[in-house]
Amino acid sequence: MRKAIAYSPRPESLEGYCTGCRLCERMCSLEHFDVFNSARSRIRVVSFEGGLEIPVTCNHCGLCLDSCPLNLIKLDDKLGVIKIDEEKCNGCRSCIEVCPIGAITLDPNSNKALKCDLCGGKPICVEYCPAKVLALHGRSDPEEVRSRRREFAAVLASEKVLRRPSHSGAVAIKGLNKITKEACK
Amino acid sequence: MTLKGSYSGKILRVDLASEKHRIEDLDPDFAKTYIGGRGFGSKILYDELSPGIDPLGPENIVVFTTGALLGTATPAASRTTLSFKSPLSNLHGDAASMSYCGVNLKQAGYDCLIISGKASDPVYLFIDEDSIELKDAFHLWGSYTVDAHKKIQTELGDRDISTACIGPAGENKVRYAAVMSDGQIGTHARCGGGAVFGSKNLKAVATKGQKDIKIVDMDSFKNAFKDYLDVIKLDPYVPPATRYGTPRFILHRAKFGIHGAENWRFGPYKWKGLDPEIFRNEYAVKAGSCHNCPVMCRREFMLTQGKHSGIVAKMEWESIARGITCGVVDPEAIIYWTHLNNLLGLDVESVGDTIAFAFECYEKGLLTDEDTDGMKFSFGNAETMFEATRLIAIREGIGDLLAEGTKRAAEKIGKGAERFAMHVKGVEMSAGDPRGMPVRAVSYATGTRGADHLRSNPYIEEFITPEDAKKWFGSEEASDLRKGVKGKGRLLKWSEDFVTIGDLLGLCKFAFYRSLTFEYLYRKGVELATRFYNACTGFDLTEENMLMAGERAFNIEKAFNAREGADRKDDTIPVRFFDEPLQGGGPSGGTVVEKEKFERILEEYYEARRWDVKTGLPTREGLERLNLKWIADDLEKYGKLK
Repeated sequence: MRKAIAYSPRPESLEGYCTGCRLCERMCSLEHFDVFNSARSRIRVVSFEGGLEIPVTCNHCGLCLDSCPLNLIKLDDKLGVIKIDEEKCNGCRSCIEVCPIGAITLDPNSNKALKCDLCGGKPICVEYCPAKVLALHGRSDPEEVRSRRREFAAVLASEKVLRRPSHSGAVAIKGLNKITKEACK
Repeated sequence: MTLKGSYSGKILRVDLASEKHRIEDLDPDFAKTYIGGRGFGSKILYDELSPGIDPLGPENIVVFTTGALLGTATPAASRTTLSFKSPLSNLHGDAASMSYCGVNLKQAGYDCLIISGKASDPVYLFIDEDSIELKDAFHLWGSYTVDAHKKIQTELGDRDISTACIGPAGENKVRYAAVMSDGQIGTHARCGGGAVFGSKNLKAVATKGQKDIKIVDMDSFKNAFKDYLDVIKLDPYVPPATRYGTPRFILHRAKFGIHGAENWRFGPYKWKGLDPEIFRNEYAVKAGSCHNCPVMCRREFMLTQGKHSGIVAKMEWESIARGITCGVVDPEAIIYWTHLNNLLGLDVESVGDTIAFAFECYEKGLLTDEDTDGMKFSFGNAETMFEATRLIAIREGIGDLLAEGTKRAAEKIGKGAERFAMHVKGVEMSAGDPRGMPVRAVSYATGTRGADHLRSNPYIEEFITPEDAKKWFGSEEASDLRKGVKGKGRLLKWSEDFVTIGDLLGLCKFAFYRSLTFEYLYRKGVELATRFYNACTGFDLTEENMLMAGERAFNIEKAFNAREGADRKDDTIPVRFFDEPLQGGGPSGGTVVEKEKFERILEEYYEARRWDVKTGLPTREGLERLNLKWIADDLEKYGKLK
């Protein structure tokens, strides 16, 4: 059964969203490389203005399977996970191009493609997430994941979290641009 | 000894005048002795500044120091400290904040960034690992913090770039201007770092870095993490923090009746409209957190109706507190006012106190309609508060006077206005009213950067048991909130060393240095902090070593202030607290800070610190015990050693 880590917010509670703490990113790089480095994480928190954050990682859809010219991306049937053979990756970026959600990135150190491998079945980001909003789902039962996403989307569309703040527009302050180059001397 | 683990190992120096930079190695002994963050900052500041320089002159420096654990997955390791000579106090100044800019600096390879000199034209500094550039910032001059942040990200074409930038207030050298991190996600608020940036024609520091932060002992790290989670599961302090964020502190202030309302005259106040439930239900966007933090007390607040509908402000409790100080109790006005401060780059605490000071001067007739351009400077007048904030940032009309801070403004107004200027060492008051609780009063007086509730944790007295008080501070009296005197000085000294550890490591004080039981407080703040540090760096510090490192940083700051001429007479609080009983009734109603108790606690505190009781100056014995002989020798030259 194919599996994936899904963002599973609990929209009924203010504490049920991703808080943007990025512990998942740091623990991911720790698990795979023994260092802390968000740039080498296989999960990324995307921040939006107005205090909304969404963690993005591979949903193991399989679109990348045929993209690799070296045929290094394979489905591991036993674990239900799509993996890149990172050892042999030459950094051609073909898989990055084909991934629709930007879940594959390039390791800035080794120039190899990075993608979630579910930590061999027990993802560390799920274990450590302080807000408990990451969950490992079975992908062969997509309705479970989808219904949660629909619920989340409904909240975003109706509530204040999604609305884009108008920073300066709402606060036109007189007198700000009177500064001249001479005044800086 | 070599440097391992979570230190990046380099110090970057940038001189704005010569447009040159230099990279130095971080000495392992230096790292182990001063740990990081505020420890590095204080030491570098002491070494590199001569006494008596003008804080807004080109001789001042700004030191960015990353906490030793910043960038690791340690819970709440999120703080970066800016150190500089403060234009408010003319003494040691620093300001810490949650900051991606600091994380990027560390991942760019630098534990520490020292900026000196003054640029001839507005610039911003861009650090991308080995590439260090000064870029023209004339087009950014005059723009809001959030806009400057976005423009920098856009023109450099990278959303991973973080900034620490100033707003119009810093450019105009408002003495309490703040440095904002990533637009408005964090504020290096206190002591006027923004003005120092402005005086250097430095609009922003932008950083990017993707280098690894290493760790030495992964198993110990994971064990410490697990133990931290176990501790906070039991800690009664945490659930309200998670539920409300910092607006919950209003319940604490209401419990003791210490709101500091209307320029610190009234204890209890009409606060019901500011209930944390209201902020949670009506305005909070959702729970947020700084780096890796399971406490989740960070909040953005949004206005969805009214004149200012559509704004989102990152706001903490102090905004609400200073709203009350100005007599404003409308949550929407407070959120909007905070937003203004964030955009303009101002420290809400100093702004609030300064406006409240002006309100009282107006009430007493020391400021007239002529001074205020016809504006009614009355308590509770939110529109005036907004307008005054704007004028302060652009230094127009009365704003030019108020931008100097309460101390200088009072000196200019004269006629006894000093009585209404609520500051310690020139830095405006923060947190709650100390009347009725003497050790709090002393804690404001002894803070090395002026009035400050984050320089110590005297709140320990609220929950410590008499047995623990006896064991740790030598007297059961230390647990008596109002009557206790004996042991309080030692409690204060310990709590100052204790919270300083957080600034050295970059840990948040709310996640590590506040609790409602002494046991959890110690376990989080000393035991676990030390274990995280050792796991990440490979050093083998004991808990005593760690507390001593905190004490060392505090002593360096004290020595800096002593060298500038500060002594016991500066370790005091606004005279109002001594001789005007708290008005409005309530649990602390009618009390004052009793001068005699204040002095006794202060003296016990000096003794515990091994400083000279008569003058408040450091002693050779006290400094040498902390391996600070070099400071003792230096102070002796200036005749400031006892």
